[in-house]
Amino acid sequence: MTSTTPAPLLQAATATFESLALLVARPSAGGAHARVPTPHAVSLAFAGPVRGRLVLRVSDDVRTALAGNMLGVDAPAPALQADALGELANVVCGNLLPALAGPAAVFRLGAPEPLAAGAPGSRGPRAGERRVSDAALDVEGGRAELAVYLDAACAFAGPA
Amino acid sequence: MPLNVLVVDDSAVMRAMISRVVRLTGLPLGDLREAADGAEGLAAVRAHWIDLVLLDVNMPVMDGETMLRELRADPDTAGLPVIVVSTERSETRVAALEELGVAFVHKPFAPEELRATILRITGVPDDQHHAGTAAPGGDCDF
Repeated sequence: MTSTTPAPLLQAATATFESLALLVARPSAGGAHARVPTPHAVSLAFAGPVRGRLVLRVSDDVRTALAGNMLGVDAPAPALQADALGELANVVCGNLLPALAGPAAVFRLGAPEPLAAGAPGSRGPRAGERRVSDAALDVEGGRAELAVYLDAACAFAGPA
Repeated sequence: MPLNVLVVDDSAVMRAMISRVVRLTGLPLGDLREAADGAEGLAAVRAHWIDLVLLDVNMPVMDGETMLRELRADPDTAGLPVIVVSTERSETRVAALEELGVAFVHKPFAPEELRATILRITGVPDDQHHAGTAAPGGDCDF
C-alpha cells in the first residue's frame, strides 16, 4: 500500500478532539468554512516501520478552546495553548499509527515542533516527503486541518 | 496514610489534566509532584517518598520506559506502583511495559477510567461507589 484513505485519520482526530478537549469535530463541508484561517501549526515526527510526520493546523478559536477545555480555564496562556496543540497532535498520531501500520508495529514519536506560518512543510510536503492522508474538520465553528507525510522512500505495508 | 503521587509527562497541560483527576479521585492525597521527563521523574523518586507514579512514555531527555526500567532495577523502588498514561498503542510495546508490572491507561482517557485505575492499583476503596450503600450502623472498610 502506498497511500491511505483519510478514514483512520478522521477517526483518530475526531475521537481525540472529543475525548481530550470536549470539542465536537466533524468532517468539513467546505464552502465558506474552508476559508477560515488556520495559522497555528505543529508537526510531530514518527519513526518505526516507516518514517514521517503528522501536521496539525488549527484556527485561533480552536487553539484557545483546546487549552481552555483541557485545563478548565477561560484564558490559557499562549505557551499552554501551544502545549495543548502539541499534545493533541501527539495523541492523534499515537492512535493513528497502529491503524495504518498494524497493532504490533512499534513507533517512536518525536516532540511536537511548532511550525511558523510559511515555514517549509507547514502547508505541504517537505523535500523528500509525500502526503499520504489529509483531513479537514469543522470544530465547533473553527477549523482544523491534518496531514500525514511519509518519507518518499517509505510505504506502509498495511496492517500486520 | 496520605499517598504521595508523582505525575511525569512532558506536556504541562497533560500534567495539569492528570493532576486534576488525581485530586478528584478521593485518594487520601499527600504531596502531588510533577516532572517533565524521566530524568526529572527519577530524581523526584530518589529525593522524595513517592507512593504512585503516573508515567508518560514518549518524552525527551529520558523516556518513560527507561525511567521504568531504572525504577525496577533499584531494590528501593522496584515495587513502586506505576500507571503508564500514554498514547502508546503498539501491542508489542504495551506488552513489554506490562511485563514490568504496570497498569496502562491510553490517551485520550476518560477521567473515570484513570480514577478507577488509580483506585485499583493503590487498593484505596472507592468511597463514591460505596457512598449510601453501607448498612446503618456502618461496616468498616480497611
